Amino acid sequence: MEKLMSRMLLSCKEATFLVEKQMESSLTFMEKFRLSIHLKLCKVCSAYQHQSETINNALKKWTEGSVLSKELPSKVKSEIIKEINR
Amino acid sequence: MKERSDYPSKKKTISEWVHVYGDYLYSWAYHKTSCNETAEDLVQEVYFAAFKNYDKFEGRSSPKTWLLKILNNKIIDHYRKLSNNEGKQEDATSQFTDSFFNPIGNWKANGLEEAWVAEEHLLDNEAFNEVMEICMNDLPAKWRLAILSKFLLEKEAVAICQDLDLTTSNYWQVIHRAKLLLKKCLEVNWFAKN
Repeated sequence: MEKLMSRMLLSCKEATFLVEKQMESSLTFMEKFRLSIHLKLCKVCSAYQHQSETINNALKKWTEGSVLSKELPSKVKSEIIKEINR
Repeated sequence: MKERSDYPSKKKTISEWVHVYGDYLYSWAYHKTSCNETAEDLVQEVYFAAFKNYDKFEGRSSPKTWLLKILNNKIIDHYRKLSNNEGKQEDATSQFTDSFFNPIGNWKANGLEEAWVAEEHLLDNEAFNEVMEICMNDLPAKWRLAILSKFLLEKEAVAICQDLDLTTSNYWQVIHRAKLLLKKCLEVNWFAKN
């Protein structure tokens, strides 16, 4: 019985892998089924699902970047302009 | 003949762009690479590429959008070069993310699970976004490359696999490990402290 259970149940490592895969691509029927059971039983992984979405949103925000402004040194600017006008 | 008469105005236009968009591009590059020198080099390369490919810029997008697109591709190239020379860091970091789980693959409790509380305005918090940036720049180059291709270039998994010469299952593994590491990094450097 235990063997059967462990074949049916995903480990947390496998479950979090499928959480990542599911965000971008589709899972097979069995993957979906096993993941949904795991997430019902495992608090840490269902929390992971939420955390992972938060991280994705943070990454989106970071890549879209409301970036703190920095000045390109004027030396570099003049080098570029000089090179272009050669 | 046409090209010749366009030539002075091309020089003039791009020189103007250096003044108008230089700081913006530099800030962008700096935040994606965390290195002044790298950011300076990348911005220079962007303007030289823009000069070379000026004919392809047809004014369909704004110069800013066009230059940023070139820059994003330069950033990806930069990480591609880095990831080719990496190897060991990636292996060591994979071992580290594996260590979050016990031998049968279940979480080892680390006491930080509870630290993730729903913070409503988390993403509006500049300090959090700074920690996010530090965590991103801590990833092995190849993992960061995969994440940046996904979010910065908005590429689909299939295209990223082709670019990075990864099988799909390797790609998911990279994304999985990168996310595990980001989660850990945020727990240690943000949630446990706040």
